[in-house]
Amino acid sequence: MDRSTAYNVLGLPQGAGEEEVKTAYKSMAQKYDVENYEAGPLRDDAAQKMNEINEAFDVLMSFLRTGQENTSLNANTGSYSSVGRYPAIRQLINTGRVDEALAELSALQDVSDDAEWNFLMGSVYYYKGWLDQALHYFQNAVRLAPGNREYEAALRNLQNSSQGDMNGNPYMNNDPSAAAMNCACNSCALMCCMDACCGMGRGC
Amino acid sequence: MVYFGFCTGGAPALFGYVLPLKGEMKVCEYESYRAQYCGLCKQLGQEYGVFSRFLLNYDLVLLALLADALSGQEGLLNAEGCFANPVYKRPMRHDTKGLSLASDGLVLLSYHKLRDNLQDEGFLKKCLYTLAYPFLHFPFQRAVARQPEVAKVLEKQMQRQRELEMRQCELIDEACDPTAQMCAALFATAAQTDEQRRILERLGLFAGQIVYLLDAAEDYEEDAKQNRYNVFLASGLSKPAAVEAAQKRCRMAAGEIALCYNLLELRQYKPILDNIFFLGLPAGIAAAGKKRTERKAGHGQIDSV
Repeated sequence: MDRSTAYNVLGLPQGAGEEEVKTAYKSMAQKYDVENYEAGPLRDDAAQKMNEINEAFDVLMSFLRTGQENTSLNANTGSYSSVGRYPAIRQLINTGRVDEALAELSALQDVSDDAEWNFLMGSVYYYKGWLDQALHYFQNAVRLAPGNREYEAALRNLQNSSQGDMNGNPYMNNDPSAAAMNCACNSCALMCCMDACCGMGRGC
Repeated sequence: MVYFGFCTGGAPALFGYVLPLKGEMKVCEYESYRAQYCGLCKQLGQEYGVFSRFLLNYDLVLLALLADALSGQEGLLNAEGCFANPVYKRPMRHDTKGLSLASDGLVLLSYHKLRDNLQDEGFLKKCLYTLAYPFLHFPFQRAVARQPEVAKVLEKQMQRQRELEMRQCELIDEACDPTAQMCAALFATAAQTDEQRRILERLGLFAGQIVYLLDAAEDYEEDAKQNRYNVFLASGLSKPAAVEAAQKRCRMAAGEIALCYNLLELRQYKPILDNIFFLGLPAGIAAAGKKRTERKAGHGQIDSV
């Protein structure tokens, strides 16, 4: 990644300084944190985006601190270990075969007190977009295995959004991308021209 | 306000809930949104004949905006008059892929809604819909030829919807799934790449859920009176409980939409889409259960003058 691409990735103008790079990185890292996408089908997309952001940050910081460009590739491609008693079912969910996963999970006996089973049920429903069901099973999973970070992250995401949280909301906090809200699109410029010429068509 | 009453009443006005919050828009953003809205009306006329323009509502403006935001296609802007408002000319966007997709989608959706309404409406409305049906038949065939994949999904999901209504489905997640799948298929058409396709499908899925649930919350009393299926009635919730359940469920869906939206690389219209997703959508959810006429002014409605 070259420096100019790195600035683009972080949404910064060319030549922005260290503080701006850090602020932009922090806000984007929060926005694309893989935890936000836990158990969902877009997790890999977020992980890829995160890698890009990390790489851009490394490139820019090494340039800003040493004055040299460091274009080496970030080797971290975001692999996840799958732990638990249900690796095969997890694999099905990760490859999008959720109906098969659901059939297998439903066929198991005496598992409703098993935290991992509840988490996987929740994941299946989350993948399908059935969020009430997902919330119910994630709640069970956390109740049965308090302290499991994976389960807690999945539950927390849904609980937060049920309170109205929207990730990356430019109208909240001090998100620097809110500064990019200025309207500089070409169609707007065209509108202004049309307005100047004929008062939005109202009085030529 | 340019709003032809054809799609109101029993037919759920799809996407009537995913609108910008007008008061928070810059004038240029508002004009640009309206140019897309008027452009969709013109596009419908061009591609599907004058009659289809009566289908226009705020429905698929969002789809047109998203598709054009991803492709970067600006289209042509002309100041024009229109038959609803012939005196004042206003800017309208023309000939973009997004407008074309949105008009296909609108015709497909309207046809299915109309057919559905023919089955379960009162006598007067039935007469009205029967009169309208032949006018939509040819546009529909044309839209099917242009979007065969979407048409197939819609056909299948409408069938699913009828089945779960027949057995009085109580599960909210399940009840809103057919509409969600339809929107997923529609939104996927806006993609430029396979990666975008997956993201847009998921975005559409949750947008469809929100539209369905807000519509069900709004129609609660009317459905109770007419003894029609409504998921909140089927699950035995009172009106306030239904509104609360709809709001909570919609907020969760909106959170998921934000996750999808953040992964899209937009080439234009970002301020408008930010407004729609982060302000308009929550405002629509906050107004759940209220009739359109009771809602606070400034949410969505586009003035014609």
